[in-house]
Amino acid sequence: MTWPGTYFDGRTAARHDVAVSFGADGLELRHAGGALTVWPYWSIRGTASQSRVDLETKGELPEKLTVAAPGFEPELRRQFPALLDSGTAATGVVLKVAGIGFGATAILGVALWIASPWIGQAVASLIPVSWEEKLGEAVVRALAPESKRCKDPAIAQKMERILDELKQTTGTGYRFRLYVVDDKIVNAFAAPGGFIVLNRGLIEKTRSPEEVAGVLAHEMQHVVQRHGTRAMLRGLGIRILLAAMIGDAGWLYDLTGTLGELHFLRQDEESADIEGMKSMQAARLDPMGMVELLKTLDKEAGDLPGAIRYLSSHPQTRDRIAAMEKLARQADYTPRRLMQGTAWPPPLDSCSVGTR
Amino acid sequence: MPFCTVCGDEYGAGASFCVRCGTAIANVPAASLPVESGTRRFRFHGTGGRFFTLYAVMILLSMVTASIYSFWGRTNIRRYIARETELDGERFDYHGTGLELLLGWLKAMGLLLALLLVVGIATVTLDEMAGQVAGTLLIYAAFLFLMPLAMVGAWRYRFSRTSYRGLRFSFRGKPAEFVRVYVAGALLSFLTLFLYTPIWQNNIRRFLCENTYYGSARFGYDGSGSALFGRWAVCWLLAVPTLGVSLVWFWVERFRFFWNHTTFQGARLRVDIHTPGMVWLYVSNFLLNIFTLFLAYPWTQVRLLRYVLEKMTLDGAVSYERIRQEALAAGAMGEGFGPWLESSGIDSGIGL
Repeated sequence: MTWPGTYFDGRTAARHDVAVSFGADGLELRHAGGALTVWPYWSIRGTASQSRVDLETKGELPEKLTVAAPGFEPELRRQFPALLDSGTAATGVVLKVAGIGFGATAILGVALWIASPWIGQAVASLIPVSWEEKLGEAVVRALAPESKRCKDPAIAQKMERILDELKQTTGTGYRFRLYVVDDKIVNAFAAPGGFIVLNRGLIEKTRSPEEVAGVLAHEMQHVVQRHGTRAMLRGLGIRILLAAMIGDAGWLYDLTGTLGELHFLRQDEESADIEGMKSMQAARLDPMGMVELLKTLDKEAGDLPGAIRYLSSHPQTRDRIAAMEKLARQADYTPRRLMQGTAWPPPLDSCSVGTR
Repeated sequence: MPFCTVCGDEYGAGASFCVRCGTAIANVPAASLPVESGTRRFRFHGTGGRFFTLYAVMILLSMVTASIYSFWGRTNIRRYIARETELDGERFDYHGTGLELLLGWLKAMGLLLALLLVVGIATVTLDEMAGQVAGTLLIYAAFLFLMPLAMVGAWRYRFSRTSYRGLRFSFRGKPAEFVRVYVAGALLSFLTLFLYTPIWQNNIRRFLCENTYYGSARFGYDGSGSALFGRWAVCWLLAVPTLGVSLVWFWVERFRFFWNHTTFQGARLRVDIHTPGMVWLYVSNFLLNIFTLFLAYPWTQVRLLRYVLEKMTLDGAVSYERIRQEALAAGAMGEGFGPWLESSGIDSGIGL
C-alpha cells in the first residue's frame, strides 16, 4: 500500500513527489526517478490536521513530508500511536507550562517579599548622604511646603533647642533640619537626609519639652538608620516589578508618588524606639518623656477617631508603651529639666499669623 | 534568465561572477536547473473557531501565571498562522518557542531597567532642573536608538524561525546600519516638518527587503522614495477637500506600494487590494469587535488575513532548486521590547 506525498529534503527548496509506504526499517519514500529515501521510525515526528499529515525528521533543520491522501493518518496512528503530536499531548504541555509559570511566579513573589527588607537595607547603605538629602528635600517640599510652615520663627527656635540637646548623643554625618507645620493633625515624620517635620497639632498635645524630645529622638533614629530611604527603595522595587509584569513604563514619571507614601516596617519602629530611648538617656533627659505623650494620645484616641495619624502609623501602642516604660525605668540618674520656667506647650496661635 | 545560487541575484549572460556576492558563476550548472514561471497564489486556511480557542487559552492561562504563559500563547498563534498560510500549494511553518520569547523579554527588561536606573541616578544627583532635563533627554535618545535595534532584533528572530518548503528565512541586516538609516531619517523628518517621512519609510522598507533571505536567495526592492513622496504629497493636498479620506487612501496605497515593489529572483509580489475594500474591512471589523465586546476578535483577524493574502500573488520566474538552505541563529531579545515599541504589528502577518 502506498500513498502520494510531497517531500522536501531540507537542503534546497525543490519539491519531490514521492510514493510513501511503511517499510520494515522505516518510512519509505520512493522518488519519481526510482531513488529511495528511508526515514527510520524513531527519527520521525509530526502533526495531523484535517486529513493532512505533516511529518519531519527530528533535528535542527528537518526534512519534510506532507501526505494529504485519505487513509494514511489512520494507518500511521494504528502502527505508531505515539508518533503524532495529539491534542491531548498539547493540553498536557499547556498545563505543564501553566503549572511551572504559576509556581515560578509564586516562588519569585514570595522570595522578593521575604528578601525585600534585606535588599532595601543593602542598597540603602550604599546611597550617599547627599543623595538622601536630595530625596528628603523633595519629600519636605511635597508634604511640608513653605506656605504651610509655622509663621513664627520663635516656635521653631524653641523646638530646635530641644533638638540640639539630642544631636550630641546621636553623633552621625547627618545635618538635622526641623520644620514646624501649621496643621492641627497630630503628626510628626522624618524624611531621608535629616529632615524632621513636627505638626502644630502634635506640639499642642505635649505637656513638657521632654515629650517633644521623645518624639524627636524617635524620628532622628529613622533618619540615622535610613528607614525612609529603605522604604522608598522597597516601593520602587515593587513598582519596577509591577511595571515589568504589566508592561507599563510610565511609572518612572510617577516617582514623586512614592515619596508621599513612606511606610516604615514594624521592626523599624521598634528599633527607633529602643535607640531613641538610649539617646534620651545618654543626653540625661527624662526618659518618661517618650512614654507620657504616647499615653496621652492613646487615651484620646477613642475620642478622636482617625484624627491622630501619629498613632495610626505606629501600631500596637499599648505594647510599645509597656516596652518603653520598662526601658525608662532602667535610667539611674537624675534627669535635667529642659527650659525650666517656660509654660508648656508654648502659645502656638502666632503660627497662623498672616494666613487669616 | 540566470540567477546566482548563493544570493539569488540575477546576472547577465556571459558574466563570470555574481556582482552582488562575488560567487564564481562558472561553478553553477545553471542550464540544468529548471525555472518555473507563472502566478503563485497565497491562501489562508485558518478558521475563527480555532483562533478563538488559541486566544482564549492564552488569555486564561496568562491571567493565572502573571502573563508568563503569554509567550507560549503568542508562539502558538504564530505557528497556527504560518501553518495555515499557503503559497503555491505549500504551507509555511514557524519554529519559535515560548521559552525563547521569555528569555528575549527578560534580556530586554534587564536593559530597560539598567537604562531607567541611570536616568533615576541622573535625576537624583543633578540639580532639580538639570536632572529632569538630562533624564528626559536621555530617555528620548535611548528610545530613538532602541527602536531600530528592537526592530532589527524582531526581524532577525521572526525570519530565522519561519520556514517554507523546508528552508528557513533569515534577516541579515546589520543593526548599526539600520540605526543609521532609522535615526538619520527620523531626524530629517523632524527637521523638514515631516516632508521627508515618506522617503524615510521607503528607506526602512528597502532595508527590510534587501536584507531578507529565503534560504540562500535574497529579496529585492525597487520602490523609489520620490514615487512614494508623490503619492504622499497628493494625499496631503487633498486632505482638506476630502475631509481626510485621502489619508486612508494613502495608507492603502503605501501598503500596495511596499508589496508591489518587493521582488524575489525573477518574480514580483503583487497585492491587489483597493481602498474601498480595505476601508469596508476595517470598519466592519471594528463594528464587529465593538458590538461583541471583542469576542469576535479572532474572526476579524481571520477576515483580515484572508482578505489580504488571497489578493496576494507571486508572479514570475522562480527556480526552487537553486535555493539552498542557509539558516541563521538569532535570539529573541528585540522581540522583548514589543510591548513598548510596537515592533510586532507583524503578529497579524500584515505589518510586514
